[in-house]
Amino acid sequence: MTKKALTATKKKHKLSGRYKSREREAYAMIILQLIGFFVFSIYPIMWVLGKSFFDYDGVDQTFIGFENYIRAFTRDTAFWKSVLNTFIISYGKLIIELPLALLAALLLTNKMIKGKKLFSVIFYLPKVTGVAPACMIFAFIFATVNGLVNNALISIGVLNEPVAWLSSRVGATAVIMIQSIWGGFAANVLYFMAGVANIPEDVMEASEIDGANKVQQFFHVTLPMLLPVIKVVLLLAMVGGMQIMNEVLLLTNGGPGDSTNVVMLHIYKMYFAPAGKPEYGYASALGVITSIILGIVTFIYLKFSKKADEVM
Amino acid sequence: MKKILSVALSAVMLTGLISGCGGNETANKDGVTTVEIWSGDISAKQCWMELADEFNNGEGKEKGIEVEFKFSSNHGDEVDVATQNDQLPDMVAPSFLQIAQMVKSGDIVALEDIEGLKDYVANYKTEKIEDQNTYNGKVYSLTTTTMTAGLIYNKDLFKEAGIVDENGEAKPPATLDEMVEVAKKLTNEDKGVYGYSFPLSFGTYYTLWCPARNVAEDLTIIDYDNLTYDYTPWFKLFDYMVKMRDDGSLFPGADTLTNDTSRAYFSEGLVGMMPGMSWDVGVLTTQFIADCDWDVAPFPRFNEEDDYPTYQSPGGLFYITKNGAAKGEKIAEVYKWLTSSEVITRFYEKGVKIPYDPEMLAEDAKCDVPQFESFTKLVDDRYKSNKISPKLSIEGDNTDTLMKKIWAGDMTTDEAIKDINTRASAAFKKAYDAGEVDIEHIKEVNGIQ
Amino acid sequence: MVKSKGNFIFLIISYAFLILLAILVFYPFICAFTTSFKGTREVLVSGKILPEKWQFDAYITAWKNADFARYTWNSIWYSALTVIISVLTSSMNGFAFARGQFRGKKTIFALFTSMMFIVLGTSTMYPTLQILKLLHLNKSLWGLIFQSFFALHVPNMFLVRGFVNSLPASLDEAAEIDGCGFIKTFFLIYLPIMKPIIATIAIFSFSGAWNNYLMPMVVTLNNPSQRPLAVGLTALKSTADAAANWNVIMAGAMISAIPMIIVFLIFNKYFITGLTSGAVKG
Repeated sequence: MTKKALTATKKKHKLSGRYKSREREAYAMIILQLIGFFVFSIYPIMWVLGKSFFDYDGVDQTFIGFENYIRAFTRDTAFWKSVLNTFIISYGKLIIELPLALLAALLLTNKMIKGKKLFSVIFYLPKVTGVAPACMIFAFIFATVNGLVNNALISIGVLNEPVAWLSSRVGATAVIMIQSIWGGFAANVLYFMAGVANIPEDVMEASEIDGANKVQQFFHVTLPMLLPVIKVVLLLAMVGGMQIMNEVLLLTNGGPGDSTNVVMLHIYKMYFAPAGKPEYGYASALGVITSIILGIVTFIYLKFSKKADEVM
Repeated sequence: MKKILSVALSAVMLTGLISGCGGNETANKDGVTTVEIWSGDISAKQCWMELADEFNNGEGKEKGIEVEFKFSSNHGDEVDVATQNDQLPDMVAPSFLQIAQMVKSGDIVALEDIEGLKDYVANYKTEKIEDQNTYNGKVYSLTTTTMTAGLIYNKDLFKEAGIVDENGEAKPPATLDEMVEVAKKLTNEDKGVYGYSFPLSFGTYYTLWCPARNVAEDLTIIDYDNLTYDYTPWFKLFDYMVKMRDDGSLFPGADTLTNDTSRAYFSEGLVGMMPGMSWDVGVLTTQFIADCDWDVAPFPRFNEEDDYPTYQSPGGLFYITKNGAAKGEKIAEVYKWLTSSEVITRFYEKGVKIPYDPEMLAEDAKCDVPQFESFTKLVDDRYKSNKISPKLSIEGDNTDTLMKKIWAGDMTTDEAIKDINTRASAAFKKAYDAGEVDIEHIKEVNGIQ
Repeated sequence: MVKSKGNFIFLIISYAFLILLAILVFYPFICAFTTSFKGTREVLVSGKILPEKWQFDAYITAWKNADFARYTWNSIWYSALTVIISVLTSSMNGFAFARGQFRGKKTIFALFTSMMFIVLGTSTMYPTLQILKLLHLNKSLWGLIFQSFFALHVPNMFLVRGFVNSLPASLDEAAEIDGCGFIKTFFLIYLPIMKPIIATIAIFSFSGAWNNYLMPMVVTLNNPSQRPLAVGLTALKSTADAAANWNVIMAGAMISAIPMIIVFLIFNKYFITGLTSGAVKG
């Protein structure tokens, strides 16, 4: 029932055999992952961290200490630009994507709406199209010459001339955002739906009996109970957003110029002979820096959400 | 639920196990040795598959050898991974950088070290074994084919616009300024026809550097005495593309245009000129069958008198891995077949590959595709394809990115030139001071005084 | 009276929203679908959604020449196994961190969660391969399946933990009275209730495994009979020399889409059931 009761039980049994066996069983449930943590997570991370202190072109490696890091912080403006671009693209799109997903989830879990299955399947379709085919289709839709969007907008008179969507910074960013929302929207709908499923029916019924209309219900009952799910979804979106790469690579390759270059793409390019030899060591260092940035962002977010918890 | 899960788990594991067990391909089935060859050369795929079929049913059958090809667009990466993972096939065809490393690590074997190939290599009917096939004094592969590049143009559009010579034949431009003029004349926006198509999003190497290589002695001028780099010719060339775009004669959306789309539009007769590599013949005759009459010409130059050699890229190089070397004689037979006159002739006749040494062609070889002959005519012996340059670590944007920035208006050409020159020269000096560059060796190989 | 009028307006607006959204989402998919029926050149230059003439060549090429039948089967068993393993392990983890009491729980959880933020990309491929090589598991998909037993699926674990935390602790106590151990409690009591969450993470794990390209490509380089669909599909992309057959790629993508849709429909059922029954009464 309450946390107090649970803690009391814990105290009573702390040193008893029962507690010990519970503890053992709990360990049993995570032992595989504990091993995996050291073998498949820690080891590779240490390996990459190590490589970041070298100048490695795939053939020879020389130890250069913090050179790579110094270079990243003092000379590589393109890297920091890509960090900014990543934030703009990945976090900007959340402003549209999350409310949209939430609204869709609420409607799809509402008793009065019919055809839930059909809608869910349609919303899931972007996930079943691979990233490469999807990007090709979006390039096709937003193409300058003969693009479907241009043709449609011209025929209804909104445009006089075709717009080169992917050739301008704003246009390219918009197309990437649209494609990313299109592809990632379903995941968030599903998360939210699971969250709504978690709200006990009687709470909803009780509020109805109390005479609340739909809007009041939403703000005073649904939203607060969804808060844990919203927090998780936001966290996952922020972490995942940092890693966006394939869509950008296939749609614009960072262009026009380098206005849509995102962090992971910038690092990826280091592997393929930037202006001279490939730079695996430097790429590793950039990876480390990116992880630290993400860690800082997450830390700030968690602190902020704890504060929000207290307020609520 | 638990029951369902465990039943499902066991069922799937069982079936998976059965499929999984069939995973290890044995190289010897009933005394027939399978030789596995990997290549990234997809334009040659069809030809190779046909040839392999014929071999397997003919000569191969007699000798108990079966050849299996695997083509992939990620060939380089796959070779890298296979080396790490100890999964190399019998022969590979990766990039020069990879070859250098694989020779060092022993993953690739010298031809002369293989039974039955020592004499073959010594007698190989060509004087053209270049430095690029030799490491530590030993020959690692034989060059069989080459590629050229130039300007592909739509003869019909030229004739329609009246750009013809005395015989009424389409007349391709001889200088870059002429090309800009011609592009303007050919452009007819209402019909959706444009003078030039430049697939910039595909990068500038195959779309400009290779086809227009004959525009100057060196697109990047390296001064070995003062340790400087000068990219001016390369960027001045790029400027002509920008000029055509500003004139409106360029197919719109060049910076998002891919090579495929560009060639598709050309085949529809909507493009007057475009850069082309010899493999485009295959594309325009089998994949996007051209609706128009087209041909190839050397790329226009800065001045009419300029006469520099056009680009050539010797290829057809296969390297034998240590796994393949273990197959001794059989692999030697396969290698002999790969470099035989029969194979080279077939590639020429089908218009897929230009022979590196014309002497290797059969007496009566005749090419089925006329445009391919034009590409073949571009072969210029003066071109030194084995030039080497210092291996530098240049920080910051590469030329490709700079060009895209110029295109987007973020930089002017002069700014870009200054930027890359400064950085490249600095890197050159740094490498030289660190003793990483052997200038004498480079000068020797490149034939510079 | 007022209520039904309010309901009516609500329904109109909701359906309008859903239908509009569905059209926007469906549109690119339809484009992909129709592209698979176009001719090679038409794919790049047509500018129209519908093909001039519906051609099945792309599908025939994909299925026969590109060995798609085998690839599809490989994808099916590989993804199915990965899903089962990852759902089991991440739900066990989530539960252990939510309801378990053991020393170091907070620390271990923090360590696990921090793994989510390490974005090192493809750099980690080499060391991971080294490990698999040591275990002689680097040449088949089984190596990857083995790895998934030990892998941390942090987002899934997070979700399960959050979900379990929101369930009342009285469940625990009831189980204890009945004499259930920790693990038994999980399987007999919690797992059945977690249907919506399980269904969610199952759907995500499946599409993740189904679309996983990099590692399967690496371990099946010499093992073509084990290649999954994602690897086969990517091999169709173009190089400098030959143009890509986008219609074949689209056909391949459509073929690849079908099992995923089926899986979604199956798990979607659990979703709906989970929704209508409500989590816990009282």
